[in-house]
Amino acid sequence: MLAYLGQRFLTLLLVMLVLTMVIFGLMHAVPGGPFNMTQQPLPPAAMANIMRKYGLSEPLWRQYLNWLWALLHGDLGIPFEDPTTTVTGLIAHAWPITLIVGGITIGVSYIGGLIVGCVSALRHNTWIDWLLTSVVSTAGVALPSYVVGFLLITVFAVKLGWLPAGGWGSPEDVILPVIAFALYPMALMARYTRASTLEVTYSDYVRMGRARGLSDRRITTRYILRTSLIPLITIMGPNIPNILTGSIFIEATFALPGLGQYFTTASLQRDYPLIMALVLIVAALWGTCYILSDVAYTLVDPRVRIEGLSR
Amino acid sequence: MTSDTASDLLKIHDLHVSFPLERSTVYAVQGLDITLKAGERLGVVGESGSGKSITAQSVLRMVPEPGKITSGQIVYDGTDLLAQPESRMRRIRGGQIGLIPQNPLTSLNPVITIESHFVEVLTLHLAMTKREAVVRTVELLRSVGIPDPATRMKEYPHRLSGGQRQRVMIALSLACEPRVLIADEPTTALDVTIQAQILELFDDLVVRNNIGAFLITHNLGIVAGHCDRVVVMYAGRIMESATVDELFELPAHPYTLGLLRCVPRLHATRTRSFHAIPGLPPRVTQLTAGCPFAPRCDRVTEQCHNETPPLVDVGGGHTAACWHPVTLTAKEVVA
Amino acid sequence: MTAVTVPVPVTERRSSSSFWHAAWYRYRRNKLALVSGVIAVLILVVGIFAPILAPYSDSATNLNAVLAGPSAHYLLGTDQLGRDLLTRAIYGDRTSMTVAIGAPLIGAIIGLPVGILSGWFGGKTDFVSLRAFEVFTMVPQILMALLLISLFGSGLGKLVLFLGITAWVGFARLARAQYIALRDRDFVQAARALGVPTRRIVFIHVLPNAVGPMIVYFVQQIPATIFTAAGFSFLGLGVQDPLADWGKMINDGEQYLQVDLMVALLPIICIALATLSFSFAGDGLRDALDPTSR
Repeated sequence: MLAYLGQRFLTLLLVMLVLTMVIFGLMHAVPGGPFNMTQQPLPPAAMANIMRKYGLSEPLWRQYLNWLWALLHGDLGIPFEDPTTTVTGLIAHAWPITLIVGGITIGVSYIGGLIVGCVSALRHNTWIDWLLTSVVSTAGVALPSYVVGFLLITVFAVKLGWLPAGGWGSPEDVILPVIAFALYPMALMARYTRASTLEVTYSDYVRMGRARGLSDRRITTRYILRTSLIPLITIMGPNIPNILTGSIFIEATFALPGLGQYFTTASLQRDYPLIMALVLIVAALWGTCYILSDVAYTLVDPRVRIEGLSR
Repeated sequence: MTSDTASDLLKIHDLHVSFPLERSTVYAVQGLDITLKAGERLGVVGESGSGKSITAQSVLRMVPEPGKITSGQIVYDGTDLLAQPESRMRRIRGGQIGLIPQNPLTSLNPVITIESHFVEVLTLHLAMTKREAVVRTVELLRSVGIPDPATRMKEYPHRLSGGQRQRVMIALSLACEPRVLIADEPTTALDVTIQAQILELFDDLVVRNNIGAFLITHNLGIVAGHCDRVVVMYAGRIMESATVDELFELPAHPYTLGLLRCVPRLHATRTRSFHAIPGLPPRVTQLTAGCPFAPRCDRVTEQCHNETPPLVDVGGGHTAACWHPVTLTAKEVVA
Repeated sequence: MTAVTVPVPVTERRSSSSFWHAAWYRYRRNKLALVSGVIAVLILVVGIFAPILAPYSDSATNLNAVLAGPSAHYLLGTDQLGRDLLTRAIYGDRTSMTVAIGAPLIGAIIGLPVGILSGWFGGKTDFVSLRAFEVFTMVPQILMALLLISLFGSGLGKLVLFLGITAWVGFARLARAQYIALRDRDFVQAARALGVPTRRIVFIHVLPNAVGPMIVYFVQQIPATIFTAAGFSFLGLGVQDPLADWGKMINDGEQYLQVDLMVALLPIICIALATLSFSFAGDGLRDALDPTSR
């Protein structure tokens, strides 16, 4: 197992390396640098100074290697937009917010989706199924999260005044963002769960279990759910980064000071160190989620075991 | 050949099963009468769509949606199974009536061990403790020829071959000592050599435990070698019912005769082409009078189209549903 | 005749025309999919014929009738610059559809050949492709597109281009998987063994089976793209003024909620309608083209 994990992470690192090179090249390929964005063009001497200070006058490959070297020492650089702090510092401040909102959302949407999907499938062709499918699965995918957020703010914050419209200070700030954010993934989760469970319900071994007189409860838990929930892992894991990227929109809607804001501003302002750091985080997150979900799958499904491991 | 009703184990009487679909209704089984005795291996033969599997499923009251048993009785142990509450049926399934399914590769729960499959039913139907159940499982697996059963049973189903899985299914179906066994095409999905082994096993177990068994198949060879009596089904009805010897020596129904003729002979003359019954078996969507086989029969008359032939005795308990039963011996006709 | 005789069903190999006919029949029977499909097509049509259907021109403003309610002149009212909301919605339809269809199209054009060729050549080419898939999946499409737009500028054309470019991986993966699955299928081998020429195999046997999932995937990308495009507009990085776009309209309308609900509500309804209709149509297509799925 360890060897397998080691190999996967190594591959991940390599891929990430390639990715950073691509992004680095891309950033610098665009005309205009981080300091051409201001209204008044700087005098050439000042410009040259700044460029030198940030190492921007060196050849590209050397800039990349400088960055890489600094990275290996845990130094992500200084953001152009705010030279008083470090990239690490900026991210450290914003990261928890995104994590909290995203984490709660994932929890709510996954668990909610699983429950809705299961109930819906087990009560196939009844009004419960119909209701859950139309309401949750349908309504959830009709509107993008930020529009839902917008509607929620309008109703609950502006008109009714029950909940705050945004900002980050008290626990209630989490409620509306999470609701808006979680609808779509919950609807997707419910759909997948329902489909998977239905498929299993009509399979041979479930029929045979019934033919042996096993109780409905036993059939439902050991035969249906245990097998139908397994394939969902392959979706749940890799979907986490997907969901989290949506936080860009949610954070904008609810004015949450998370990482989302940096995604938009960093690239607009050509804040190279910040961009690279963000890309790193995203890639690392994604890759790790993939690896972990693969591993989880092998642990849970007896049919899929890593070579060389005995029962 | 006395009809000794005392040893009647299971009696299906006038069974009707239909499938109401969106645009039509398929009448899968129409008026079926079958009697099964203890210790008897009853072959149920027919082409795909003849209703044989549905019959088996009806006995367990597990006809898949949207199928419904519309009328009839299935009498087992003095009670009509079709009138029992579901809770009683659940105890009967597995406990009194066992099922060996067609496809062993998909009939076991892939995420629980072989042992678990057995322990589940043994604790349920025979009220054993887990320890007792484990011991019994080893015995059962050994009796069906699984080598090293104590270790094998800890495995998951995907680690076993098709033949082994079918043995497991057989053991599982017999685990709770049922008195009736339904084997629904148990060897169709297996290699020929494995087929032979499985069928021998089947014979042995049925005889030893005095079980009444339905052997559902479309393979006449299997019927010839492993059944005591046979029932031939077509379009949801019984065309002929006889002992194995009688069926093969003196087939009475033209359909049976046709089926026998279809079997290729090893020592036939080279010019003889394969025999086939022209046309295709029907999916019955209308209930009209007349023999269902009439469109394909070479002995057909006007009467066959207009009046449904009842099952008549053609000699010593051998029945056939035909207005013009065949009277020559099979050998004569086939030669 | 006593009973209806039905011919033996299903052969593994499906000839082109009967396959599509059967699929069409199945699709038709699914009421939800049918209605959704009709609506989806209507939405497309409106987008195409926008200049003809819209009562006013795209940029016509009337500063005397700002944020007016519905009237005979302005069927659904006006927005903050006195533009007819109905017109804006219709042109917004055109913009959204341009992106929603254009971007996946670009993605397909890039991705499908890559996927198929990767499967065809196998070996080193395939290896490189798979690594490329990994690299490009590491950063989610939205972020990548965001990066590109931030670097190279926004606007309708660039939006379509960048969303399209970042969508290629999905199509490539699918195409490759389809190719590999079909290449090894029995009926392809059988056709080969019978000496059927390669071109015929590809067009009559392989493509109808492969095209199905690809069409479904394409249609399923449409709602997602609508969301993403609207989202970018929401952030100010999408379509720019004076071009109409539903996402942008919502964004603009946010400020005027107290005064005029319709300005924001109309585009919301439009998005929901478009998304739902394409989603259900996509689901219907999937079920119609592959009857084994439930």
